[in-house]
Amino acid sequence: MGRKLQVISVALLALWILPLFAGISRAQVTDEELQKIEQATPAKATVQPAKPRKLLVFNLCNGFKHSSIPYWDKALEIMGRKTGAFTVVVSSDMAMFRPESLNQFDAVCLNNATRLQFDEPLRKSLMDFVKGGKGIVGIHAATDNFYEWPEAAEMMGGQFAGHPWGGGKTWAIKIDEPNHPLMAAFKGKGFKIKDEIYRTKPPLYSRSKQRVLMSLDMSDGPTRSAEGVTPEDADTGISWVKSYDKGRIFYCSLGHNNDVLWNPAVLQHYLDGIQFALGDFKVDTKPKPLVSSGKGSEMDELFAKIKTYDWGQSRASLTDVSDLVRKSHGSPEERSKVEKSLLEVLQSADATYAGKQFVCRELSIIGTEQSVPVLGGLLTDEKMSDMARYALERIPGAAVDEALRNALGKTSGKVKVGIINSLGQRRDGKAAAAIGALTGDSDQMVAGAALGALGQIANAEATKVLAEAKGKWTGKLQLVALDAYLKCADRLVAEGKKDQALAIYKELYKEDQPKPIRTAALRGIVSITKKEEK
Amino acid sequence: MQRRDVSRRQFLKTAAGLAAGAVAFPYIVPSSVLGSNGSVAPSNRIVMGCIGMGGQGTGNMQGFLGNNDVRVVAVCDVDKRNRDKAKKIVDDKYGNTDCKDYLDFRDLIARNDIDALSLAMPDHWHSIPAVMGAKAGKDIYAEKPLARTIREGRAICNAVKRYGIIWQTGSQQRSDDKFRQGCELVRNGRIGKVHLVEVGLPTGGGSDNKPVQPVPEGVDWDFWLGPAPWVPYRGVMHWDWRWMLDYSGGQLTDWAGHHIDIAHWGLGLDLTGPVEIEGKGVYPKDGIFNAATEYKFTCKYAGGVTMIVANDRQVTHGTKWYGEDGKWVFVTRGQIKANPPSILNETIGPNEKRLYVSRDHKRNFLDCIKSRQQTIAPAEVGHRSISVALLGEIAMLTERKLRWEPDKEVFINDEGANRMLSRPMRTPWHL
Repeated sequence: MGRKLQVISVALLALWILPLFAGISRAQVTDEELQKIEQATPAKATVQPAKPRKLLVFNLCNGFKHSSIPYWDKALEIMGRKTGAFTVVVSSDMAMFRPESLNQFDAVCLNNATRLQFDEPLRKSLMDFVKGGKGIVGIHAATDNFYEWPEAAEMMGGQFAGHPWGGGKTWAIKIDEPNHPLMAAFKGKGFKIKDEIYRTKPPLYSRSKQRVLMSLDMSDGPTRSAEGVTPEDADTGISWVKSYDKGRIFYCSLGHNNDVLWNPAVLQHYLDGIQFALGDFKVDTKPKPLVSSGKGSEMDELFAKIKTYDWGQSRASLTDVSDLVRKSHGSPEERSKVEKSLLEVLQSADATYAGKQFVCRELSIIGTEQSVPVLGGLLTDEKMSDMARYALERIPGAAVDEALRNALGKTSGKVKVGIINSLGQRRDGKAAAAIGALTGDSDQMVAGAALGALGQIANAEATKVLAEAKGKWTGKLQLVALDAYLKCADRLVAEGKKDQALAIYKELYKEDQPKPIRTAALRGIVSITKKEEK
Repeated sequence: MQRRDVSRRQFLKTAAGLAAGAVAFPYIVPSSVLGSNGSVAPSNRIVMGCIGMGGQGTGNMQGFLGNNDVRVVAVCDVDKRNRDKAKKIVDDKYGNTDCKDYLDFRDLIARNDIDALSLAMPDHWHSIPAVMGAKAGKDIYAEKPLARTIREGRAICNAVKRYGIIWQTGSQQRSDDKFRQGCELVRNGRIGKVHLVEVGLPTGGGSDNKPVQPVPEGVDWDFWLGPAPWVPYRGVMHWDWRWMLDYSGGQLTDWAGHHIDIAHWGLGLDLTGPVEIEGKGVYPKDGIFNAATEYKFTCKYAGGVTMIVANDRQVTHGTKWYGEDGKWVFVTRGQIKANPPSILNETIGPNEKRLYVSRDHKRNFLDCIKSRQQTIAPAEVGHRSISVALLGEIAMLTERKLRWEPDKEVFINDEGANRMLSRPMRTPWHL
């Protein structure tokens, strides 16, 4: 035991000492690698600096130390020199955050600095710096900070919560803002990259609080299926900008692997982000919330597309709405909002049938009693009745049963048959009498559906109707009626009313009954007598 | 049901003499099949009607035509081209023009002279003819998966049970020695207590947005759609219906009736289901196909076994049971492997658990029609196999961890997921 402890403490010591050699690791960037970085670095500033800009590159690690830190130190130095956009001071000394030191800079770049500890005076200093109109640039592990300083964590727009997407594999990234000036480097096209991606969970990370520029592309199988990914990771931001009082924040998750440093597009993106943080590149930082939690106008835009959708066209907007529907689960307000928008399309005079059909499919999943008046009204509409039922049949509640029953008397033919079928499927006991009356309908299709529904409902009323009228049907309807009557007997058995059930089975076992019915009746008789023997 | 695991001796005994009184439920044998030995008099043939004459249905029909105690008298399809082809095959076989062709399966089922049905339609068309056929007292060979929804599957099982008909699900891997060998080794503890089974199924694909186009001559498109929501014809019908959620669940539901079925068989869990399901699927965001292309979900069973079902880019195609001490058995078509490999040389002793032996899936069905014995892949088993895939589908579509009661067949505390257990049918169709 003692020996084990010794081993552990040596290991701990080594871990503790390791960062001390950080200075040495800087020498690890080879000349060849420096050349690659030099080549990949943009040739000129994206915007002309209004005045000479100074960037503090801070790389202290109290937590995990990334091997890419010296690469970034060098890359930023080269970037500043080559483009003339800024000059850098690289440091790992917390004293740099004292106001007298800090204020000479236009922005601070947290180069994978981790678990920084700010005392009260330094906290005030950094907050004054940012809120007063300066900038913060965060590289990759910059969000692995401020666990005891919520205000700063909020400022960053996210906090490290694991990385299911490790640096050894390739992940897909989608461009959320193809037209945003900071995204020019990627020319509007999503891309794949081998790097480690940080998870930053809500509520600290939120599209309502920052402008997310790119994020993981979950339509990519491997990205979506990485070990440890949960449904909450559906929106995983890669880079974002935000305004913080008068200050500016730019963060990007890329930069764990050393070779990201000779990716020209990534370096261009960083240059643009840094120039934004320094105050030279004026870009829009207004958050674009996810449609579901966002402004009505964007949701309206999306639903407007549903109104014009037709078969054969792209259904991408349909997929977006389905995603909204799914994500609204667990939030009654969200759900109600989405439901209202769906209903609005359904009531719109100029919406296509294909669009309305899609809406009914979605309402079948999230519809509530709020939908019943609109859907109920469509039951009598020959063209819409089927899809109205598609939604209604799945929505729980007595209001739906009532709407269906109300439509029963106002319809005929195939439409009426559909309504009878839905009432049967829902096993609406209150409908038994009305449906029973239809078993004698002159329309054979209606009579057949009514008999089938009575078998589904199989309550006392349904049993009574079938008992009184049995023998009345001939041809195809005979089997349907007797099958329904058998189901009533089965239900009686389940309810413990064996005598009543046995009487029905015996009746149906009589020699003049059709063969399949006799087989089923005999099975019923045996099952009851068997149970009684036990 | 309790005699699913019959010993060979027991099986022979019951098969030889029904008077032994081992029959599970009462039956009335159609007069046309009484007497099953020796040459087959016309009156002793099993008279069969085939519904759904696409590739699989035609293949199945040809399999039945190869048995001289079967007489195929009717074929049915909503596509005249398929119907004509099938009728010609039957007529050529018998050297006459007697085979009757039907557009409407209801007319075929209404024929009193037909004893048995062979069904092979798109998944959304599985339950209605099956239930109707059972009500008419027909014995049924039906393609897997059992049904498109869990409620429809349950309705089939109920009808099969109520009317005491013989049912064979087309999960023909059960009639293959390798699969049975793998299952018997696992069932008899050759790899110790099983804690995990992995099931790898094919990966799907996407497509473009196909334009609306004229319905081909001879196709009754409205009938083809049947209970599914009405949509215009866009060139996707035979075969490719599989990749559209209205009609099927993609590769997952296509293959569940094989490798998940085998996984269940090996575990002895083919009459129950998981209690917890969670997973992720990749669903095409655009294009006419919308079934999951990649998928992976995990099922936990009450006994502690975990089943992982995934497409074969994530899990090797086939079924692999993991036991204790690094032992496993893997089986797929044409291949069985184990660790250690010596497991495969082991025989199953006389007092050990023997599984039902069938070496010809269709022959097993025909024999059972005569013996009134349970087939090797009865309805309840087929239902429980596809239920795993359907539960996985709901978990992936809702992106939620779901808890399931296999006895009552309802999700616990998830009203939204419970809605997806059934699908409203387009009028006039109903079960």
